[in-house]
Amino acid sequence: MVLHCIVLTAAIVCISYAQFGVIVGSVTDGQSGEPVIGASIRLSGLPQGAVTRRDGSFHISRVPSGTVRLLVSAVGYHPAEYTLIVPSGDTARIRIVLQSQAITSAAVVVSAARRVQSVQEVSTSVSLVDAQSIAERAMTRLDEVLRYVPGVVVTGSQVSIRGSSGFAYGLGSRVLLLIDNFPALSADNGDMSFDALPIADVERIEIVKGAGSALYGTSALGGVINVITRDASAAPELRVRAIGGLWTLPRFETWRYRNDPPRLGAFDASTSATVGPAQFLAAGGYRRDESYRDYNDSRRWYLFTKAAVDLNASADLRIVAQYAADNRANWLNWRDLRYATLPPATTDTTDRVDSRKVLLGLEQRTVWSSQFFTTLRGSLYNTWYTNSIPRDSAGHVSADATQYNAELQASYQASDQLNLTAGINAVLNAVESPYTQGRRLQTIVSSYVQAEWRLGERITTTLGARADNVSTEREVSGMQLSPKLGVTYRLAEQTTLRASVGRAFRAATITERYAALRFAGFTVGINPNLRSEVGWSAEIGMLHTTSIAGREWTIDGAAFVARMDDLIEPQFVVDTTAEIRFINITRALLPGIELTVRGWLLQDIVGIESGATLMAPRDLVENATLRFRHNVQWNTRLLVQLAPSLRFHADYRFLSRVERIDDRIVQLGLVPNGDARVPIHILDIRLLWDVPVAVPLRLALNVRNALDYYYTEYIGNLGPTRQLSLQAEWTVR
Amino acid sequence: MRWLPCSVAIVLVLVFSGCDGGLDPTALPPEAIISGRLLVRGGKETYPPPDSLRDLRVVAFRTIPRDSSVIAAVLSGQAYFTQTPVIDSTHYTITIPFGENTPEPLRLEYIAVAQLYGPNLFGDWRVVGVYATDTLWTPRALTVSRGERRTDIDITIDFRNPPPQPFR
Repeated sequence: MVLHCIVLTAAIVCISYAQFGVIVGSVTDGQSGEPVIGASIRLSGLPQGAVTRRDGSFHISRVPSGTVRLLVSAVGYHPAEYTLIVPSGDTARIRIVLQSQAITSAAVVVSAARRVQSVQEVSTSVSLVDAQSIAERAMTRLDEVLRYVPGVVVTGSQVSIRGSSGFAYGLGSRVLLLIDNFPALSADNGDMSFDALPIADVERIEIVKGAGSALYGTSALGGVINVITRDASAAPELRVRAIGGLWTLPRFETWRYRNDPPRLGAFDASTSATVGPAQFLAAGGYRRDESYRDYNDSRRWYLFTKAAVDLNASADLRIVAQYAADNRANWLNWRDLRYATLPPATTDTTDRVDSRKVLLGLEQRTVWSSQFFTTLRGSLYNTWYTNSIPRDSAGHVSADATQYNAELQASYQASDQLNLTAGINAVLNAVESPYTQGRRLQTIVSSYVQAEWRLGERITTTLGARADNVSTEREVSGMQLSPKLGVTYRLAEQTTLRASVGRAFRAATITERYAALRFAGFTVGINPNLRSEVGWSAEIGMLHTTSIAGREWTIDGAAFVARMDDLIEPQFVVDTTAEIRFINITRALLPGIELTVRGWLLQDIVGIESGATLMAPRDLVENATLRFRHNVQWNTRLLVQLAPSLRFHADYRFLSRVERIDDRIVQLGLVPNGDARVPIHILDIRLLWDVPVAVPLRLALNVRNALDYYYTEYIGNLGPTRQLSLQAEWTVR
Repeated sequence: MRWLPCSVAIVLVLVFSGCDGGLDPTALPPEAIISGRLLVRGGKETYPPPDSLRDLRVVAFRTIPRDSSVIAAVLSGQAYFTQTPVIDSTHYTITIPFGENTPEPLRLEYIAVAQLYGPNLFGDWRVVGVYATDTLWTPRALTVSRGERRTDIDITIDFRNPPPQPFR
């Protein structure tokens, strides 16, 4: 045993002194020759990267010697790839030239295979939202961003990718949320908190569609959303954003719960600096919204920090910390359609909810050799909430839930053709709540492996699997094995075909198993015997880029199908007592097609980005349309360059009428006029002006829901009405 | 590809021309409302103890019910009931939505007051009052149409001598 340790230590020491080099370079604008500030340079398949400084220069150390591929992207520029040879113990120099484009298509993703890849290498559909799109639309919450992504539907606090989820008040998300690769679904409900994210400091959001459990385990039934925050800039920087606005009064007198327009405001600031080997980014923000509905106001604030430290020549450490808190009214559903902006008359309007979310993540990366590097991750995600009703009184709700996550991932480049990724992962969910009758624990222990194999210049295959062992309150639910197979085929330089098939699962949450409470006159009972939801999904797709009148156009099409079993839904159960329990009841089939087109026309005056998803979701148990799903989704974005510093944008969003809802909620009178629903037509318009002053200032005048169209996203909840806002954004470098 | 912006513009125009303002509270789908007085024979002294008076609803059935699953009848659209319990109430109101599958005019064969006397929400119901033509509890049918308001559907409740149970 001692000998083994000595040999292992010696091996580690040897490979830790493997041969490394340095890349030094600059990024400039292809037309003006000016330096591009803030461009991201990543090494394909390796963890290193850099962001360009004020003079456009960058420096990447600890680069394994040999041939490396650089993936370069910057907001407002066409992504680029470069290959260069890094000499051992020496410096490789490169000058990168980027061509500008108004509609960006990011080149790099990290979520599809847990490593840096170009989009063309990914065998599943991936949508990306970049920082520019978020900033221009004056967004302050994640759900506002996701509503514009083809194939993604947000229903209240529930995110559905290609129909994976209907509506369950956010409970048991079938889409996994990651923040900088750290899991961020609550330990009790398995739901997302949209306000717990530093949206103003997001670099990009990657949405990987389809089964993702082969790499990510539970909850990735419909896909994975990874929010990548920006790295600290090498040079000191201060960003400030302020938003002020109002909700216009509704057309109908009975919907005007006050005489003056409700107001909203938000303020974000972030700064970054480099001190020795460490880079820091610190951000904070506050948002106040009086809301278009009575008793629906909220106050939210957050603090976010991210630090990166070079530990030595071959290792670095990243720390992410986030604190978010909010105080809001406890809105559930409307009184009725006639008074759609008022809560039910019996609502206790003095009751408010306080909540907080804390994320702490550490990531340590070590490059052991030019072929091998490891990533060690540890994170804690805590959600806590309580309402203002005293703990021992009826109607009190509170929960304190923490997810602890530990993971070791190893990546090995066996050859130019073969890349291996493997890891082990342990998760502990701990929940303390009155409705779970005390403390409840759930553990998930997993291991995964994935191989990517290049067959010549054109074909890349991906084969992987993950095994998850879920145990709740010491009851083992059994092993979940989630395999995945993917293939990409580069048909031509500008055309890539892709195909994939994979299995995914979602372990029942602690709330679904152990929640016992009274809700709207009914009793919710426990069901500790819930099984995991499981599903298979498959897709074939094509990514094609073409040049029209000197401008690049991108077309992405996919046909997909998912089969899901044992979906968990609340149901009436009749035995000795009548109560609602979560049970495995639904089987579903979700076929569909998706098409996205983006490009620039008329001498760069008009740009278009349009994506449509057509689906036919079926409930195989009831042989009917699956509840709470839209069959058609269509997003279109139009950009018009009015003058060099003045742009007009329009976003149109269409969702077909939800064909089927849960009629019981209406028939039992739980939500009056609960079946009131229409197709959704939302038009957002904005005017952007880069003000020519000494300190870079951008003003954005936004009109959301410009048509003042009235709709419901889910039962008994009027969707956001027309909102006007003015955003000012400064960046001081 | 120059056709694309024109095509998108044309589609948008068509979409918006076909799109009204969305939900409209002034154009609510017409519904029928029946309401009336509740008279308790013998007064409050005849009320059963709270543990056997768990709920009390006025229920309007399309056909005379053959089992005591009141909730199942409501869920299946074969019956409509008051949205809140009518314990201690002297009046009641039932709103009947007219959906796509609701026949018009709608005939309600049996309007009764149902008491939930046990813990089984789906089975522990008994009838304690009927909208009747006479004192012998002979059920009286009612026909309503969209937008119709009937305010004279008075029902007598008798906890001690309830009407014949229609449930088998």
